[in-house]
Amino acid sequence: MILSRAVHALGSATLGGVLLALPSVAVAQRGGNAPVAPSSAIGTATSAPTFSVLGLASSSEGGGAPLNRYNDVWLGATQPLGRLGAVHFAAIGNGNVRSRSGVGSNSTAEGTMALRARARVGGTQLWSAVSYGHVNVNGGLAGQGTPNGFVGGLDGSRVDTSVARQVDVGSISRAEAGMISALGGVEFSIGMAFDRASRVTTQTVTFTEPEGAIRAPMPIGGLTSTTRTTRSLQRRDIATGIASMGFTTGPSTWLISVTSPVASWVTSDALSSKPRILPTIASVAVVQPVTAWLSVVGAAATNSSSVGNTALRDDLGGGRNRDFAPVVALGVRISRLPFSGRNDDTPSGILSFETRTIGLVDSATLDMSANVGILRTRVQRADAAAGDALDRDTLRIVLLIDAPKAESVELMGDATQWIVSQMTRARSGLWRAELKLAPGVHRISVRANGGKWIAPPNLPLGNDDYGSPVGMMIIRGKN
Amino acid sequence: MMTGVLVAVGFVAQLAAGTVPPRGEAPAGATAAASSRPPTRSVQQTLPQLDVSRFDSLTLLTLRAQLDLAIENGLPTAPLINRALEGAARRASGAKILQVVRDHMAAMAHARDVLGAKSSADELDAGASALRAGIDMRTLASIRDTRPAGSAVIPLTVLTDIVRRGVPEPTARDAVAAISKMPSSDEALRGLQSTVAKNDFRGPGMAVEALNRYLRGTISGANPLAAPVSPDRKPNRPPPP
Repeated sequence: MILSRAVHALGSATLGGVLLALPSVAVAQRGGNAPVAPSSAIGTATSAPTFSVLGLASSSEGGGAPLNRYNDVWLGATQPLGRLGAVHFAAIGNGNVRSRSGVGSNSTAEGTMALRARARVGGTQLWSAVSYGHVNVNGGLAGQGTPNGFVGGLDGSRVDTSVARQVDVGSISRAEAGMISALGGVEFSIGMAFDRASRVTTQTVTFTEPEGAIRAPMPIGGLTSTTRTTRSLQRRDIATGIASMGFTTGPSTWLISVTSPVASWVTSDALSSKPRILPTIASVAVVQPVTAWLSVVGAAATNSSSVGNTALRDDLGGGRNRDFAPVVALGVRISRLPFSGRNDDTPSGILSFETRTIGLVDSATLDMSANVGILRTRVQRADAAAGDALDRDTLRIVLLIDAPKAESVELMGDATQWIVSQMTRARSGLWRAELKLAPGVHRISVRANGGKWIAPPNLPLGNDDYGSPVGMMIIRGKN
Repeated sequence: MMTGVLVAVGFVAQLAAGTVPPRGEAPAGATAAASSRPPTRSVQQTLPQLDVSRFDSLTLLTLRAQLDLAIENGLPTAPLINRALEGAARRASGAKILQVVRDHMAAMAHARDVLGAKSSADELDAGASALRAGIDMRTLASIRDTRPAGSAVIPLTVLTDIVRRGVPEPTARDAVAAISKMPSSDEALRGLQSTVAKNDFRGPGMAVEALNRYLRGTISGANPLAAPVSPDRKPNRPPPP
């Protein structure tokens, strides 16, 4: 078949049991470290230093009332913190400004800070995160709120009851953990999240009734108003399962995730007549680089509960939180360089931006010590069956990099249109990228742990036009 | 002339739309545009797409002009586009990118003068890389002489590599030329490159010594082409008293 053609790559010999440089390169369009998406976040999460702004619009959740229809401006930032041993830490912060919430007619502000840890065990990556969020809603109810102006109290008189003001102060604590594994170029992540949400609601309730307690259809005489302040505590514990998959198509990064509640316990729920469990939510997000430092982010979810601290949502009435209440998001993601130098001749600082805007690219560490360096390079031909779908003049080649202590290995070259592509760790421990190459000369550069770009060891060196040489690979078709 | 202008304009439009012909396709009329020079095998080149979003407008405008100039002169544009994309990926300034593209285009023109007008795009790219690595044009000519009909890509690439690794140019030239004359010499050249690359890390002079050892094993009766730059091998330990 096609791959029965002889593929000759420069330096393709194995000598003395040492892997030598073999040529290859190509479009390794595969996801890097799997996206780790906090259950309440829309869009791919990343360990790269990024800042994101998303505008979200949601439809009504089914209750029919305008109070639970809201639009959001979502802000998020990720900053790698470094590592302790083999565990990489990153700080994730996000905030949410809601023009109209399900509780107050005034604006609502939410904020969450998370500390995430990631470590690789063999070919599997483990992740865990703890987070704390705060919500503050201050305003009157949207619309008329609770029963207003109904005729006939308990004694048959006309009584008006209104909520003049409501203040909600809530907090949410979350612990998440999961694992990531790559399969066929797609990275899968499964995990669990446990939420504890507490909210104190202070309401100023006003009862207005006719004076004299005259039982008549129309009030006679003056009105008597009584104001009372009530406080209630609501606490919920929710266990949620998380499953997500991430992959790349060209420069675009995709994340598809599903969160489904496993169990919910309501410790004290004064506002809700019965405990409600959040619906299963499916979401899809895509990050499309536009310029060297700017990406467009698009996302959609089946339910607006995927936004914000869902455990704090005020599920007053039945029918809200229906299963399908779509939310769409459109925003931008700005990638920026870390403050410290990267030792690869690139500028640093918050005003400098880096090319790597794809969310899956992991730059949790900038350590590029010799122990992390890339040791060997090897190229293999892929199996013949895999080549059947390829163009007649395109060859499928596997590039293997031996960098056992690296946390991430990336490559770029002419075959990838000089877009950074993440290599994945194979079961053998080698970093792997499957490339589709046309016969000819190809240039490639690799780096480990976000460090300096280098030519793959043992490959012929090309020019160092931009400060570091590239590796040259020659792929020959059938002679 | 008008045809050439239209062709150039059309190609620029394709660039602007990010629809540069895919690999294996030549820009329409590129050969006709190069009326003043015989067409090279660059019409068989594989053209990468130029992602216009990666460059600022001024750089992009100048880059397009340079690519048009390359087309008019019958030079392959794929190596130039690749270097421009590489520069953008490495966050080089627009001026630096344009300088690299300009230098490489000039080097490809020189390489074509030496290697011949019928040289392939890959050969011109490899030849230009060799020239820009400081290799003499006469050395390129000698490499071409070893393969007047076959592809000189691998000899040129290996030559550039081992020179960059510290092998003196005359030594590298003689070694590559000697092996290139052998039948099925590509495999032997790969072996030479691998051997030099492996020993390059061992210290000064080790690459040359490894080259000589490889030659002796590959070409029967071959004499060392040069002594190591510095005899930095471990000294023979004297026998114990």
